[in-house]
Amino acid sequence: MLECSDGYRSAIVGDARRIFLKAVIDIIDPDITYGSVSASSESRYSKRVQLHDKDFTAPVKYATLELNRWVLDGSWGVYPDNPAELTDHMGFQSEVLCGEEGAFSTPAWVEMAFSNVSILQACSVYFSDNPEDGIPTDFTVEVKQGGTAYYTRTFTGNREPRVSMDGFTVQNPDAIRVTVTRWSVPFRRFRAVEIVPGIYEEWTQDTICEFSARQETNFSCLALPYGTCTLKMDNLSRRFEPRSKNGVFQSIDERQAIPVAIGVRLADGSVEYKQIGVFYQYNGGWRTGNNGLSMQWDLVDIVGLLAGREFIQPSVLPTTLEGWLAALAAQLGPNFEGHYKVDPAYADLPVTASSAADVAGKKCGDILRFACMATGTFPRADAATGYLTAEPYWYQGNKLDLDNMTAYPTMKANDDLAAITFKLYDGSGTQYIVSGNATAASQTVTVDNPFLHTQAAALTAARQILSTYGGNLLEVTGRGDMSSEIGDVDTVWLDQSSASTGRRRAQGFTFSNGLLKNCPSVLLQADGSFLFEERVVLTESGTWTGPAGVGKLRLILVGPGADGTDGTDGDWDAAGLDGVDGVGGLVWAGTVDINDQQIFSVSVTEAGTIFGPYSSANGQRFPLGYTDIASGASYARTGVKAPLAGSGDGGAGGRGGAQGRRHRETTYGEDGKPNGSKTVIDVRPGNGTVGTTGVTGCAVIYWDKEST
Amino acid sequence: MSIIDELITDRLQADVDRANYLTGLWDPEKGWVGTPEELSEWMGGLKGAYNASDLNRVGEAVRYVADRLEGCGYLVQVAPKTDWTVEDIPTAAQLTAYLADVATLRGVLTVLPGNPEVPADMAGLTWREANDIEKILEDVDAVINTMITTFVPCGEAICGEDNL
Repeated sequence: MLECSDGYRSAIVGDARRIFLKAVIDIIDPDITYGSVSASSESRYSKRVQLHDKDFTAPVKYATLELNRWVLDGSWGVYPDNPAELTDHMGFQSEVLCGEEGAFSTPAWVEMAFSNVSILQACSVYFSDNPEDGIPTDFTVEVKQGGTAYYTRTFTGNREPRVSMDGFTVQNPDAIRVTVTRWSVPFRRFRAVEIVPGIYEEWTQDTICEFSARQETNFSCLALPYGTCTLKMDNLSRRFEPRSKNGVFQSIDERQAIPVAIGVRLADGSVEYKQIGVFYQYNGGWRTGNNGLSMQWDLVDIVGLLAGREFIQPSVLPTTLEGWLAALAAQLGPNFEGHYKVDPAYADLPVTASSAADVAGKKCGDILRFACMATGTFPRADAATGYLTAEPYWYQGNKLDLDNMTAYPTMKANDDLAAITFKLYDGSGTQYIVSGNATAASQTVTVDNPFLHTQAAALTAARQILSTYGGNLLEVTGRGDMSSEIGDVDTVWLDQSSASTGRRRAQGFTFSNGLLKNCPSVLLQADGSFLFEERVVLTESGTWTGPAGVGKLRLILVGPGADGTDGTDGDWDAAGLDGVDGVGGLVWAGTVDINDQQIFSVSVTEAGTIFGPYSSANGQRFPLGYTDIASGASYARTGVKAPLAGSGDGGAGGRGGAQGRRHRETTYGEDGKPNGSKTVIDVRPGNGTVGTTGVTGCAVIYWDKEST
Repeated sequence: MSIIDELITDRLQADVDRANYLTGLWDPEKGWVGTPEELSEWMGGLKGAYNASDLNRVGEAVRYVADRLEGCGYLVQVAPKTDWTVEDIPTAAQLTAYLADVATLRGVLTVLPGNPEVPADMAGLTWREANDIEKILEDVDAVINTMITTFVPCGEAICGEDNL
């Protein structure tokens, strides 16, 4: 679940909400290597490398003595003594100032070099939009190759802090130079914040006529679905016309990134965006329509970019999960190196191939699946960064209630699995068969994973696989919440008492006519989890004896939920205050080793839930409740109107009473003349309602059939 | 007429607004689109902005007040910079020294009631703080004037005489 503010939480489920779409179209050669920046003069506080950092904002305001620039409005910082300590966004700034008329006595220039760009058909230059900084009015932009300018554009009387150029073609360009002869305000330095060798534009719902995105993963690692995004926009200027020699169409290249974010307007008028992914150009992923008047791009996430690509082996094969992800990201080129993320606790887990031959000819997607399967993680494209990501399960997510669904959720049976057959890479090709979650099922799978060498490793993989089989699939169509991530465990509030949970396996965002709506999600509510097949829920105190032969238990101890407080009565001056929702109980969960037929004392009281030496008091509180993904049950939620006994739910707070209304009316005597006044009561002040009492928790016990 | 008479202590928000307004009269295409008088005002350095001329004026005033204190027998150590130009970029250390000089002068004599504090730093400088810096110097100079006119001559001071 992506982090978001309270304001976002309120706005995204508000009755009326305003949604914004933002896609950054980055048509810059994905293999570009930025070189040095040279200039006619440069201030010691200039940050030349920021000319290609894709931060287009104006330089942070620092005081200089350029005439009348340091306005006494409290907004100007002071430069540190050591320029190296300056970390703010500054961009390039010259040492030399223009003169009294704004003219530079000697033209001021800055040149950004780069390499590995095969063709350039557009470029942009961004200047500061701080009014105090001014902008260049007369200047020239040159696109060079080998020291010769093959495209030159001269601007006179420019009024914009950003200029863009297209309609040209330069093969193998290696530098862009900007030369300024006159500035808009006298006694100013030449400031530039970004030089873009290509197109880097922010498109909104005003530009994009159709948008849809889908994120998906397969937790079992038996398949590798990936995220996709479709963008359709006007091409009225025919910038993207394939038949136009000097359009920018030829610059469209595989692996160019398009970060997509969707935002919601908050109560204070600001917009909080959540990035839903970084999607990439892909082979044949474009098409034009309406005789070129529109352009559609079908994009994929980084997993999709890798899935079908043959893995080119590095000279030394990686030996850890992180090593393999790094190797996979690097397959996409130097600019993708480092575009991966691994949970720190899993990063160093060993993932080894016995020989290079074992991974020869494999697709990158297969390598990704195999590495995750061997480590109990699952692959996905991280929405916030777009990075290739391997993470274990987590147990929190969003709350979905019926108000935010367009239809009641549908539930259908998830697939069952009869057995998994592993081919072990142990030197002799041993076959190892693990029984599935339902022996009667027709489906079996065979796993040929070069990173699985032992039965123990195969069993770890089997646990992960089986955790995704059996049980149910919840299909939900809602209004869309961009903070939800694939892998989240969401709680679906079905009515005032009951809720169901599931792990988010797929979700889509569809934006049409300015509305985000009819967003489908698939939640997995599998019960083959962890190979635990027996389960008991204790809601009363007593003792419990471990079954014969069982040496391991998975425990979930749920403490009592707190009471909701009463709402206060309203009076003639104001409505009463709502009570505070009671928080859900503390939850402790873990897997513990036990003795054969060990006897445990069990205490389920208002003080907490204790199972032998384990106690809910040592657990933590989950703001949206704790979800037992194996059973689909939800515990310890906060503010439940009708909590079920044994759930550990907190009670809902009472509602404040309504404000009373009364007014004075003139009274009249028998002669028809006013003789006084009286109070007339329109509405009596309402009484506050009583808060709901929280309920005690429970002890949920699973035991492992493998240990029997 | 001394440098003290040139100190600016009456800046207002309206001066800041005017600075923004006048800078906005620089049109990228047409150049200056205001009146010649407004151009003259802009070129002279605006009251709502802090310029090299402001730093130099304060520096000169610091030197002037320090000299007067030394003339009265106080040992004052200040090192004001008075050669700022439009091309300079003042650093944190330079501006800390700038304020330290003002603070030094303020600390020599008992200041008048209502004398402002020296701003903590020059980051986020406002028109009020800019006024305060120069008001301090003006007040210290006034205290020196009072002190000089009330010096007790040598000998025994007697109540009711000229200076008491």
